[in-house]
Amino acid sequence: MITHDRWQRIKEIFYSAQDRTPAERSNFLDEVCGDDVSMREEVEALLTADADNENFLTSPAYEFAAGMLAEEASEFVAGQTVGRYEILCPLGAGGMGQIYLARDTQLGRNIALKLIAQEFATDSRRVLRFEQEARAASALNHPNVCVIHEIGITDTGRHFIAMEHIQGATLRDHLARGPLKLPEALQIAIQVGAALGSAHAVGIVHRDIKPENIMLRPDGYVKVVDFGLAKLT
Amino acid sequence: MGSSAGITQLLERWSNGEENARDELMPLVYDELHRLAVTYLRRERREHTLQPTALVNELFLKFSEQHSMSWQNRAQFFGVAAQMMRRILVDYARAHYASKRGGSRYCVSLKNIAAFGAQPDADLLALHDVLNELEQIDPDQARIVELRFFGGLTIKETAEVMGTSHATVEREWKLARAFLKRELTRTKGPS
Repeated sequence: MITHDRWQRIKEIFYSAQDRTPAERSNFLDEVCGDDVSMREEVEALLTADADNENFLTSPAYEFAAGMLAEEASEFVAGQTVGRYEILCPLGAGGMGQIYLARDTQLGRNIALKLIAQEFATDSRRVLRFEQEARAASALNHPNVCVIHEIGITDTGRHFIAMEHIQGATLRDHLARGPLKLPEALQIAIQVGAALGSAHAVGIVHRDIKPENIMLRPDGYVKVVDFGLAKLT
Repeated sequence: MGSSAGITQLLERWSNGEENARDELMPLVYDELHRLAVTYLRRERREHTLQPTALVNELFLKFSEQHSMSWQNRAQFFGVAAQMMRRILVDYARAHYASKRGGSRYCVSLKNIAAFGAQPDADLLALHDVLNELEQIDPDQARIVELRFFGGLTIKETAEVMGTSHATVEREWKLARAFLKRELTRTKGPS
């Protein structure tokens, strides 16, 4: 733990170094730190951290809590059944509702089950859009587009979409771990391009392409998901 | 609304030097803020829009509409609210993390990232830990982080609450972030 006095000294040097150009800094640090190598290292580490810190902590904390809340707000619990699907665990939430990992009890495979949010269940405009998502994606038979298995409605009147469960991370999660290497970026871009190309060929525009909607499977396959805003032309 | 009247009175007693009024104030602000935070996050999640208004500002407006608050009260109020916000979100992240991974130990995903992302719960808990470290060596900087990051206040508002200049807050905030970033990226491996 740094002592109070030492921290005050580090602060002074840090602020003075910041008033200088990067080229002048090295000489300046030699001068003020002298033989105190660890002081110099300390200040340099802070200057390095600062140089690459433009966005760090600049959005308020509660914005980051939104994702946690969405998971907690899941209404369906493990073991519950929706049609022939048995809920296993929540996977996340989108603008229209929650997504769960579920087991197709007839075919014995895992699927992703998207259920329209309770508050939209009776909103015909939202329901239409929800079903349109499934129709748009199922109109495409393409290896880079998430496969839709079924659309349906529960006993309690909730619309759902059963679709392929894609193992892997979103491109957003992947980017958070560091920049992509060029061959990797190209591999992803080519597959996303192929998916969108096939959609455009049948008159479907996705309209919400972003890293959150691009899934990367461990085997290298890239899948475009969430046609919830797609436009059928 | 009873609790807001209570809060105003407690703030007044506190600014008159009654330190125990602060202890009574905490749970009231906590409850109110918690309620507001949950509504807020739900709405944000659904509409995919990030509201620029700070939660604590909204809470303050709600109270001050019904009760006049002096300037000093307002500054104190923001201080308490930011602290409460930190507690709410950290408690929340801890519970969330434990339920998801079946334990209370966490390892940090923050490496070279500009903002929080893949694991908001673990990242928030890690940040809470290094902010405690900063508190030991520079309480003022830690307070700035609490007001800015957890309270969502602007530089200007933070300067008002701290009773210091805009330039000072800006400078200290920059160094505080560099300190936190460095601590998060260098020392915290899986523990």
